[in-house]
Amino acid sequence: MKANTIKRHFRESFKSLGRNRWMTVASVSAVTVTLILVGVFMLLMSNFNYIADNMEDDVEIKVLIDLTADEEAEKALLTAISHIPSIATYEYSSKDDELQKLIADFGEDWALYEQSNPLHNVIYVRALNPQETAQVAAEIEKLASIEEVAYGQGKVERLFDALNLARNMGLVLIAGLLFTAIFLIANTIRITIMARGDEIEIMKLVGASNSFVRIPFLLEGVWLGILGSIIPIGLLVVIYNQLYDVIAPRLSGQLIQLVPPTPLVYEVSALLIGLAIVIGVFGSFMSVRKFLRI
Amino acid sequence: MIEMKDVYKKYPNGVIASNGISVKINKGEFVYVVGPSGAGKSTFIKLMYREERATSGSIIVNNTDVTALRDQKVPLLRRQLGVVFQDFKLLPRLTVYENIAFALEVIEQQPTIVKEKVMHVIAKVGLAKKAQHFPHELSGGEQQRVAIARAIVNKPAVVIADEPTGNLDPDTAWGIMDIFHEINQDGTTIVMATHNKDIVNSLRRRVIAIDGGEIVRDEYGGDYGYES
Repeated sequence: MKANTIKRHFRESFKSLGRNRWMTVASVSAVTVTLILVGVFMLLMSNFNYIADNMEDDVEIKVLIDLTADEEAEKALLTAISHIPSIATYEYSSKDDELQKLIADFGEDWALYEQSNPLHNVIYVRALNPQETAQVAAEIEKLASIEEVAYGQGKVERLFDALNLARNMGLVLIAGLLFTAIFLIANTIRITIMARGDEIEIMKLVGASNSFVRIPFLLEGVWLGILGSIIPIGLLVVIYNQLYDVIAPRLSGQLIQLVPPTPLVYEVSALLIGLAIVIGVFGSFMSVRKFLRI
Repeated sequence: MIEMKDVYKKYPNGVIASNGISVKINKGEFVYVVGPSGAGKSTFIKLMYREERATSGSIIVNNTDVTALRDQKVPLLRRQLGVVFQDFKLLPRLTVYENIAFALEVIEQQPTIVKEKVMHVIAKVGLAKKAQHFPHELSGGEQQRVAIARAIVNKPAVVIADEPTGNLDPDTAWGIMDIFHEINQDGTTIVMATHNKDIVNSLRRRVIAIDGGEIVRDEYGGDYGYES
């Protein structure tokens, strides 16, 4: 293809946006509305996942070491744990450390036990994948010199089940929303191109090849996508930043935290603009294809 | 130039629009295609530029075997032909100049050459002053001149016209015929389906009469032959 032809395609695609002003407005509005929905939902899901991940990361296994274990046995246990491939971190905490923690958390009353510490030496273990905590715990349980392995059995499983269900529902919702968006936008573009069926017919009559007819329409789809993503991206970036500035300080120190706006909003923006372009091109492609059969 | 052999065309609805047509049209000829409505004139024309595909038989246009032509190659055939219609088929949002230039842009001509060629044909059809007008600002006759200019700007060997004067009043129609006559004088083959009895009877040329999908008469310098 010659440079002049490429220039012509670009020029024509821009001109056509102006010439079919109402069609352009209709398509761009469809893109805008659906992308706002998709964008809001993506931000919600990101935050939900962030919170869920934080909760999961807080799950740890508490390995109580048998009181009869001597230093040698504890060392062997630590080495054995460190060799389990699916663990992320492990941390030894002596029974004196444990008691200090209790005193710090629950008060000086507990200092009474300093005379005769009833607690166990402990190893805290986190699984590489929090969802595999139960398996890791089971593996540790097999080792020698262990009194008990505790990780909130039962509760943790229920938490994970709930989080997974919510994640999957979110995915289904996003997929549904995307499907609706593609359908709505592709349809709007299709109607706008239908109205130009005679234009395509004439192009074919004077000997235009299929790609020559198609390219300006595809470019137009790209512009429609880009134009349609400006407002959603602007809104999401501004509003999420504002919202974060207002809400984040109030959540400091809490279990629930918001995802920091940078880079999240830019990632979502890139995703939205990419999505819009894909949808625009797809809509154009499907619509023009109908007319190109001779 | 154009040669049809035993061309048979049956539409999906069962209508047989071409029932074994064989005809040969030589380079530089001017041919009227006449016949009652529904006789198969339009199909005859459409088969030539591959708007319709023949069910059987062979059609050669300008050394191209149209019946064997793959869909992707159809644009190449169209570039060797100029086609003019009763309803002009101009792009309403393009100016006169752009409508004509369009036919050259499609085949990726250099912009400087495009300009030169377009200005040349615009002058030829007498619309030099209206180059920047839009089709809706022109009369029917003027719009048809634009369509003709678009058809000939690429110097095709054949111009095919389907009732080009069908929407025009008699005076205007004659103006259009003058242009076709002139194009023909330059050596371009012209095939024109028409209902215009006066024109066929006055500007005597070869007449191919089609009825029921068959050629019922093929006569040089013939008359219209129907009371329409």
